[in-house]
Order: sequence, then structure tokens, then C-alpha cells
Amino acid sequence: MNTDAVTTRLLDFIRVEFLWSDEGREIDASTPLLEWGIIDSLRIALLQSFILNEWDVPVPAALIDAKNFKNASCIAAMICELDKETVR
Amino acid sequence: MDFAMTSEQRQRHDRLRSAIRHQLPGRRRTDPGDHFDRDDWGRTADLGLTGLCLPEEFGGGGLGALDTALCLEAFGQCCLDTGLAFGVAAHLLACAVPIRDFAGDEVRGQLLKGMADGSVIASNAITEDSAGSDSARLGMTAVRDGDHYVLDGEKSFASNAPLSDVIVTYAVTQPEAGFLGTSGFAVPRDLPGLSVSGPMEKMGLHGCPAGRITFDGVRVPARYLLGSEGQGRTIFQHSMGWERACLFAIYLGVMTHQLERCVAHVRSRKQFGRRLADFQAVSHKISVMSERLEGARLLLYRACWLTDQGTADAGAVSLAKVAVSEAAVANARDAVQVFGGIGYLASTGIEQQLRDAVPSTLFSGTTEIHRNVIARERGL
Repeated sequence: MNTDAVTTRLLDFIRVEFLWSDEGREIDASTPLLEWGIIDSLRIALLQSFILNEWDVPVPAALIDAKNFKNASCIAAMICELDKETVR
Repeated sequence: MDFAMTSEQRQRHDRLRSAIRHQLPGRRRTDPGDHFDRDDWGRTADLGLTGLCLPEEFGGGGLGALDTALCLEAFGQCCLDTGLAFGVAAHLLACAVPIRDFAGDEVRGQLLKGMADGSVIASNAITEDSAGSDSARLGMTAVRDGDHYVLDGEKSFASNAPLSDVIVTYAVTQPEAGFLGTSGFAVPRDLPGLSVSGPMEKMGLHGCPAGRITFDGVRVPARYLLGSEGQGRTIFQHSMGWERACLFAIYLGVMTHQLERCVAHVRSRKQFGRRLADFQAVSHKISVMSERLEGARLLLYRACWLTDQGTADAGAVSLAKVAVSEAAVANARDAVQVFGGIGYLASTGIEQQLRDAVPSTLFSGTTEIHRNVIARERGL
């Protein structure tokens, strides 16, 4: 699993699903998703479902925190780490 | 798959129903200002109801979610004061559960024994005037200052608040972390700067007083932080998982009692020379009430069983919550219709059940919010 590829796929998902009514708003791997309110309490569940469907990685509730969901780069790093633990 | 209670569950259920009938308030509360007092609360504690799912080392019953729900169902079925049952369940599930699972040893030792034996009444305070369904967008703040947190803000619709000794509440500790920047606290009621108003005048559940709570620079010792900073959402979701699975069992009990009364009424009352039960329009209404009740009961038992297995997902719990609360309103409405003019009279308690049922589609997440969850689980 490649972190850059995961980040790109996450950003595509976020643009399409969360920013569809917010045309023109640009985001990148370091955009603060929580601080800007792009991920909220409803959308986090959609994101969890997407991560499970796309990479077969369940995100345990204990890992849903501000550090892991700060931006797309952090989320991708968490997914890759969880994937590695599953493989082991 | 086994749909029967174990003999242990059956015995506990029967024993509890008998004890509740004999020892708890035998009257409905129809006046908005008429709510439970410490004597009522003490009697529920004597029956073990205030500590059902608390560890035995603290005087609790040590029960899991399904057994807790079965006891709360008996409470709803046999106690005429549904507001009291609601207040006890809110104390237990929205307050004691997060303290049980997230507080440090010192605070658990300080609070849980009293919460189980009835000497400590707890109130859950998350709702704010601008944060209802959008409960993650809190305005209340908690700022770390040495060994304390300083809490500022106002909470509303806090059940049990006017009589509470401890308040489980949530505040923003990391604004930059959005909805994941909240933290949970168990706050002793007697701290300076904390004030409670109420009780609020409500449509139903009169036995349970609700109030507003103002935190004006309340200095809370850091040991009362639940879990770690930023874990507020996780803690709240955890407690709501228990509340949504177990608390609504009260309404299963209420609906069971209500249906028994409706059946007895239509079998005995005659109009046009026939029993009401002999009119198909009436008997079908009883059938539909049964369908709603039994379907909701299965979904709730399943949600509790999944909680005990550690595999409960939000969708299963939401299905149960919506099924029970919507059934409670629909059945209460039908019960008034079955009883006719008599059901409209406050003295029969039939109309009271409708007023007690309506808030069930609002608290612990509205029906609409839970249908969002269910739709999401279906991939929408």
C-alpha cells in the first residue's frame, strides 16, 4: 500500500463527497480537515465506510482522534499502518 | 439462536416486577412540577435499579446490556411513573457507564458506589441551545489551567439536573480539532460557578426533572477528566450506544402494559350490543400494536446482545432505537383511540403514555438522525 496513492484517493473522495456544494474550495494533503469543518461528526462515518470498502481496513473507534484525522496525509498514514498490522 | 430467557433471567425479571409493583410510586405524575424526590430515588436504588450495569465491587449488579435492558423493561412495565424510570436509566447509562469505563480509579471509587446505592444522582449535560442534533458543535469550553480545567458555557435539557450531585458533561478543549476536539468531564455539582435552573416545563416524563446548567468559570480538578483530552466524542458515542440499546427497553415495558390494558378493555366494553373486540377495525388495531411491539422488542434485544458481544454497530442500535420510539408513539396514539373518550381523560393514564412517548423520538438522537445512520449503513 502506497501512502501517496492512498492520499490521492482520499482527496478525490473528499472533493466529490464533501465539497460538492463548495466549488472552488481547494484542498491538498495538508489541508486541516477538522479545523475547517470539512470532516464533521456525520462525515467521519462516511469516511470510515469508504476506508473499509476501498482498502478493507476497519478504523477502530479508539483511533478516531484529532491526530489521525488532522489532514489527508495523516489519515493515509493511519490507513497504511493499520494495513501493515493486518498483514502481520 | 435462542429467543427464550434463561431461568436466571426469568427469575430476576419476575422478582423485579413484583418488587417494583410493591415498592415504587403507584401513581402517575401529571403535573409538570411533580417530579421524583430522593425518597423515590432511594427506593429504586434499594431494588438495585440505579446500579444494574455497574461493577459488583461498587455495589452494582454487574449486568451486561441485555440483562440491564430486561430489568429496565420490567421497570417500564410495572412502575406507573415512566419519568422516574427514564431518570434512573439516564443516570445509569449516560452517566455511570462513561464514568465506569473512562474515569480514573480515584474518581470511579469516589462516585460509582454512591451512584449504585442511590446517594449520588447524576445528570448528563451535552445539549446546548445551538447544539442539539449537531451535538459535536459545542460552544462550551474547557481550558487547562495547571491542575484544573476551567469550564465556561451553558447546557440545556439536562435530565435529573435539578436534583443532581454530579454532572457528566462535554466541552471543547482543542478548537482546532473540530468535532474531535471535545473532552468529557464528571463535574461535582457543588463546585463554585456551577448553577442549575429548572425544572423545565415539559409535555411528558414529568417524573424526571430537566434543567439548564450554567458553568461560569468552574474550576474542575483535572482528575475529573474522562479518558484523555479529545476523547469526548468517543466517550459520548459509547455512552449513547448503551443508552440507545438499553434505555428504550423502558418503552417496551410501557407498551406491554398498555397493550394488556387495551386487550382487557376491548374484551369487556360493549357497544352496539357487541364487544369492541368483535369489531375487526378494533381487533386489527390490537394486532398492529402487537406487531410494532414485538418487532421493536426483537431489534432492541439484538442490539443489546451485540453490545454484550462487543460487535454492536451504529446501524443495529439505530434500528432498535427508531423501532421502539416510533412504536411507542404509534401505539400510544392507538391506545387513546381504542379507549375513546375515556382514553382522553388524564385520570386513566392512557393519554399520559402518549405524552411520555413523544420525547422518545427526540432524545438520544432524533428519528431523522438515526435514519441517516441506517441509510448510511445501507451504503447511501
